[in-house]
Amino acid sequence: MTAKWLLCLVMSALAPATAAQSRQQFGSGDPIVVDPRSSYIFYRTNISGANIRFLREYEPGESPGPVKGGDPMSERDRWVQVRHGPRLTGGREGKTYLRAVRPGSYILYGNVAVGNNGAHVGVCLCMGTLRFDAPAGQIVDLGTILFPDVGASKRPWGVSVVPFDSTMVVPSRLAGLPRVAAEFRAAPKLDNIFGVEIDRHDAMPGVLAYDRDLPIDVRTGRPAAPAR
Amino acid sequence: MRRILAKLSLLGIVFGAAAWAQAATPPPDAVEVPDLDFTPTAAFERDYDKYFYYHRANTEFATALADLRECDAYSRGISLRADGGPYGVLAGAATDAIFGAAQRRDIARRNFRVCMGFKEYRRYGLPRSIWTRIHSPEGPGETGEARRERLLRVQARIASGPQPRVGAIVE
Repeated sequence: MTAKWLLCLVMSALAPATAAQSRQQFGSGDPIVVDPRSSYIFYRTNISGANIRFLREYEPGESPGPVKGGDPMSERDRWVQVRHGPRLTGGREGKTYLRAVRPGSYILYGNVAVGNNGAHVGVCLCMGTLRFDAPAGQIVDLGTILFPDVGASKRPWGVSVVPFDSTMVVPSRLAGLPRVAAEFRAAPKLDNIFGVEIDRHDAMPGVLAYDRDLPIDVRTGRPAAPAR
Repeated sequence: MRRILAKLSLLGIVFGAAAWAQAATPPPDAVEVPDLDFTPTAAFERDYDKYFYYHRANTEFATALADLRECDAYSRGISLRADGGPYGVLAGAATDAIFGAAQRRDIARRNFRVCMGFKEYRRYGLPRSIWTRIHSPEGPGETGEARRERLLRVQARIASGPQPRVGAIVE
């Protein structure tokens, strides 16, 4: 059995999005109203079924959330899962996703999904990644999240971000809405909490570099600050 | 393992805590390693991708041990479960036993290799006979965890030891 075949088997068993998740993740027919108390993560992708997980960093003084039954995902207000569907757009405007989130600092954890058998699959950027702020009342535009070609033999299969630039298509439905390009910062190593494959984000000029395996914040020249 | 990590996260000490580096470091002289010298043959070289060890020049034993522990942590508790799709629980258990377990071992090995690669350790191939001495089974009364730690110490001694003479793997 090839790894690709097995990945397809597991991905086909992914649990459907719940109603609550669907309301937070915008589909092609959903009206978009920017709530000033909320923030919104927006990005483009190069594949149809993109599962992305983000980690919200605790605010200063905020208490860690409850962990039920030993499942880290029970910290519902901390982990943000953008599921493979619904998508905001497809077709000529490209494959894009829009997800409402609590305002704060977020870390791109990786392309990780959970199947309906409870197992997690995918690749975390556990050995170095990016963080960004999602401000209240704003759509933060991450640019494009590129998925690797899983048909190629080259691994690991972690995602990488191409920050927003003016050549990227902005869906017409976002026209006139408050939208800012993400300002990325270096994020540190994270534990492989979900037991998936590991990788790291490529070095990003002006943002993220590596001293061997140690993620470096290029702005400060020091190791990336610990995750909160 | 995941349950322990989840509890640690309650205390806010999981991320960036490098818990693997906090375990005690034994004196390197207390760790015995087998003789790694051999004469390469085509047959040995064909199996280098299965039987190998790590080495990095100018690396202290304690550093190598911390690196190996960190990479070991990244390789544990692999979550993947193959299921039987529409064919029920028994089919799922069988599928997982056959394919899932192999996939988990494969991912664990891959994670270890990715981690050590980022740390710029190089791989050196070995004959299977020497490799099995490095990865010897549990001794009398030894637990699985104790064996794991013993093997990591052996590997750390090797990784921080003399420059290998033969077996360099071109990545």
